[in-house]
Amino acid sequence: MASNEPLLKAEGIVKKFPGVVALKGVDFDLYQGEIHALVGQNGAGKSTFVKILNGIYIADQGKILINGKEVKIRRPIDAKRNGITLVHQEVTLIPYLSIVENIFLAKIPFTKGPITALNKKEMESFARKYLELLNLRINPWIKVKELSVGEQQLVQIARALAENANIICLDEPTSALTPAEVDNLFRILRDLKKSGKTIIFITHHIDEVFRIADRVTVLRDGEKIATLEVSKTDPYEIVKLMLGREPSRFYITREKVFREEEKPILVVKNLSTVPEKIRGISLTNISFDLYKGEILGVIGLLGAGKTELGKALIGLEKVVSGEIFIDGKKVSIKSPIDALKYGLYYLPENRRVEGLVLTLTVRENIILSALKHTTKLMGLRDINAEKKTALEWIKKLNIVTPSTETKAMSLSGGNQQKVVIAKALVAKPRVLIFDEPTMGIDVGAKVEIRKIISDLAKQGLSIILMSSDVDEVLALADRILILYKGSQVALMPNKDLTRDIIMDLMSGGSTNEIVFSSREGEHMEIST
Amino acid sequence: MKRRGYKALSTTALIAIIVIIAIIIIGGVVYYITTQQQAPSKIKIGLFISNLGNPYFVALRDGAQAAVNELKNKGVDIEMEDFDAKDDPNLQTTQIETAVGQGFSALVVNPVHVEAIQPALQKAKDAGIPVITTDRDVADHTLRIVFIGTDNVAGAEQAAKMLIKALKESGKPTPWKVVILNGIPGTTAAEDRKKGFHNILDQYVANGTVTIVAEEVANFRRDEGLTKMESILAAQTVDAVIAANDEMALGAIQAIEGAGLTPGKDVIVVGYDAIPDAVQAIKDGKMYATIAQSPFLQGYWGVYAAYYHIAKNWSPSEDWIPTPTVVVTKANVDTFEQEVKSPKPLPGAPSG
Amino acid sequence: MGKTGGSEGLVDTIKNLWSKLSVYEEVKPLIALIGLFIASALLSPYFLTSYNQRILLLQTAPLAMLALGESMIILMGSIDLSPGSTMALAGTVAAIVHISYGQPLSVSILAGMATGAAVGFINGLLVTKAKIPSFVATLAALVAGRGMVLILTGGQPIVGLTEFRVFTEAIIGLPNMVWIFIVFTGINLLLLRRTSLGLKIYSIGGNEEAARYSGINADLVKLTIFTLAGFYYSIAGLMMNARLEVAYPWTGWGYELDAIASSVLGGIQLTGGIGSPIGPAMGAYILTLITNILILMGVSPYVQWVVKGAVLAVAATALTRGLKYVK
Repeated sequence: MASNEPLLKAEGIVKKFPGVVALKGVDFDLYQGEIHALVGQNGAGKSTFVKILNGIYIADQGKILINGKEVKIRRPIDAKRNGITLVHQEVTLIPYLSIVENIFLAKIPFTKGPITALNKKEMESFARKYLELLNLRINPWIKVKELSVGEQQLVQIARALAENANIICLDEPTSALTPAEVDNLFRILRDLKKSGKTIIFITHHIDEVFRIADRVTVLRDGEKIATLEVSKTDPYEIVKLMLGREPSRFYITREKVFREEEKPILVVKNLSTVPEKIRGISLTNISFDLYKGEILGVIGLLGAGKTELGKALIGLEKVVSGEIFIDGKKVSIKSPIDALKYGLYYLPENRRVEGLVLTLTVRENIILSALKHTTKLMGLRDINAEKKTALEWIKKLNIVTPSTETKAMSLSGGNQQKVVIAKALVAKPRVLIFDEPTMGIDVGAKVEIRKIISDLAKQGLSIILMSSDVDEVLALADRILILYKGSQVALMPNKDLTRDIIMDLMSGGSTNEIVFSSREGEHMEIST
Repeated sequence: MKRRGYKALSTTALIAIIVIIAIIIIGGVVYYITTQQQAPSKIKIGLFISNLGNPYFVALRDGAQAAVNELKNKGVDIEMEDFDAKDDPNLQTTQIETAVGQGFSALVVNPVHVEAIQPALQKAKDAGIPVITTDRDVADHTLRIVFIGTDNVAGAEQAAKMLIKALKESGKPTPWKVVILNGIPGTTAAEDRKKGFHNILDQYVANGTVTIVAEEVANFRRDEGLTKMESILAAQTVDAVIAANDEMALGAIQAIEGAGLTPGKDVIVVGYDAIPDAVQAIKDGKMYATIAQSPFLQGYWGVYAAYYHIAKNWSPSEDWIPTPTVVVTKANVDTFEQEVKSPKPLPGAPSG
Repeated sequence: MGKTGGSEGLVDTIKNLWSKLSVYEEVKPLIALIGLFIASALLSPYFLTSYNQRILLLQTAPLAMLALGESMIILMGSIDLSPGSTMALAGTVAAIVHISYGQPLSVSILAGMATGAAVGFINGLLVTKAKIPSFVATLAALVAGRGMVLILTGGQPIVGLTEFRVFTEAIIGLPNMVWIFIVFTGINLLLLRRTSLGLKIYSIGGNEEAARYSGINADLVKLTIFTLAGFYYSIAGLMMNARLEVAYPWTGWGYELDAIASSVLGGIQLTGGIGSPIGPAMGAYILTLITNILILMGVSPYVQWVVKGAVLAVAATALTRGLKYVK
């Protein structure tokens, strides 16, 4: 390492939450100028740990030393004064302020006096300095709410840089980024490292550890398992340490089916939409069909229109032209209620924001879409029937929860996702539309969710799987629909396809353009 | 499952025990306090006033207090508590309802509204608590022993006569243009005063010496008096204003001054009630006359009537005991207050 | 040694009991209520008399109806500023139908209820169809509703409503309007906890987006609940007619804030989705109790406002403890 004395040292950090011990005496050291990855399953305590370093939580026991001197970090501002900052996993920008203002906010805690005159030009040049570091070339006066999630993530990093922090903690920064954006981020991180900054990097993606980190610390169930030099370990060892057992495969494989003789359940013809928000994505001429028991993978970069397509199918996007047929009959879907009537169910990308009612119990969430099945006369609820249904699904999907009466907010991400799936299945849909079902959940849960999706297809449900994880789609889908900037680039059977081909097409097919593809033609025609 | 059932039972049982203990403690304490505080011979009077923000009713309260003090000095074991309803009939009902359960011997009530007060007074009647109304009466006379208040018709007639007198003195050409500002319609005071004004003025209207150019409702309020008068002055010239209370009259004076005219000279103003601001206006020559009621006597007599009723089983022969009104002009502006604030014996009171 | 062990055991038992009890959302307001009740009993010997307890319930009834209606709207994450005006308008219409048009009591009561429901329905339409935030939509109803009352009455009370006594007459020891509010408290408990509509209300308040994706017709639920709340307010208005036997045009002036305060005192979170169905009735009782004890103690009504405000702030602090921050 660069020096023998650690820049930051944490000793015996303990943090208890009501009912759980999140950290059980974690020791940690960090050297100047290193990129230190922090890995572990959900609930291992990664986020809790960096939140303690940043004064968002206060440790119950243990101490933090910087350059050998003990420091008290009780509020975020204490951390910032000690040169530590955190880029949150969720977006913590103020949506109705511009990029410039959001970045400039970083400076405000360090200005003297309660009121400072603001100079637009100064603010802009201040912000631009950091935006340029990140290669972010957009109008800096755009409101943050108009940005994509990936762009927002970069603005958050710019803000962290603007705080002039020495230690930058990144909590799963790549979970919402496209591959190109990830490359860009890693380039930035390497630059930062070169300029002497120290980085703590939380991730779910083991490959990222090997692409960027110098050392890696593995946490499991609130305990530190090991800190390893990345050059002296391998992914297999890390995953094994994370899980505490031999890892099973990340991607399950599935027998692909190609049925042509049947009639499709769902046919979409030339679907075009206009966005509700400014800078939203419009879909143009999307056409595909979907068969019983089939998994249709929909893949594209951030901003390709995957979510918009999902929402358009359940009536939440403004459709300007195109037709949807179900069982050969033309239908008009204007709301999720209509969609449910035809058996279409959309599982949104953002579980916490769109998928679950966190203030309700697991039981109530599970039955939410199918209240008719568990109510008696006059809408009177049958709590026993609800419990029975909830328990049945908790068992079927292996949802880890203390009871049916636990509030959804206290479950882990993976289990929340399973509750969302259970809620969808209780409504007995025929077509399930998954939007990024494994994003932001831990490795173990990812495998489980993929297994569930595969099993559902086996049971005869038709599935539209929208994902930016190419390997996931390759492993699960029977056919793949590739979107680029709201247009359909390709629709092809998942046969002899490789990661590279798909990546190329996803990025707009810089060299090739697919002009025609469908399941009837089992080959792709590529013209140059 | 069995264990869970047992747990739930024990929680319920614990709650039940806590609640029972709490009830026993409260019950015990209350029993102790209530038995300690029994003092049966004392006379306790509740005074319910529509709005103590108004100096008029402060005088009423002072009069009642004066009577209580006088009786105390005579060795009567009496006390009084007053309640301010802030002109909210619902609050007054709540106050009277609450007081009925509180062991008052009699209630002296100045109702916010003649009808809205009835359900509350019915409760007092049901509980056998005698009620005396002051200043404003209740619609159903069986709900009270007696009403003590101004003869507003007579007072208003006096006011209107003063207006005519002033107009004659001014030498303004006839027909004199007169504005009437009335109080809150439906209230006894407003209706009676309106009646009194018209009793006099209508004769002059009939013989052509007076024209009533505007008759407006300003709800006894100064701000409404101001805005109403401003609008009237915008349309025509006015010789005199007669208002059913001083607040409206003072509002009118502000409007007259705002229009660049001189109150008392260009426009003669007559008010009613003789509140301190109006008295000052008379001193300044801005107001010609006002009518002083005797709120002090209303409160004073109210308490005495209640006392005689309880202690001497007295019942008045009259349904209404009128309190005197006094015309206030520049001539008696410094002396009238003593006149209305000096205690006078209650007419028809039992001897001793 | 044994003694200290024993007291520690007791502390543990209490802690244990508290952790079990605090699961129930009703517990905190109930403790506040019991605490104030005991304090009041100690402060005035007249407080605990059966007469005083009767009128306390009687005075609670109209506010409780407002709070029960308001709380359903707050649980959906919306707010309603119109209860005071709606109750006045419903009471006025009932009085006019009864007095000016000489209709029987039953017809005038139905007219009043229909008026309240109609105001709620319009609020609901403004929120769901015109997409006006509920704060603004119901602010408009607050102002316009009061204006309509003043137009209809000419600012004058409508007198002679003696037939409305059916509300204040007693059966089984308590006035009918007390029974009405008790029944409606039960209805709210049943509706919110035991019907699908109730779950929909909680889910919309908890996460409207998720509720919509789950196939819940959030607009229909909102429209229904705004209408139902308007109906509740109208009953409060009829109760006020009965209390004074007069339809007073300024009835309910400022009551929207009392209704919101009752909901908050009852543990309803203003962000929606959290709170006990019967909490608001408890909150209304607490507010009325404060007025009652202050009158018993002979405190000026102006001071009463300050005391009410202080109690509200303290209660809200106790209820929100443990939250990181609120807006």
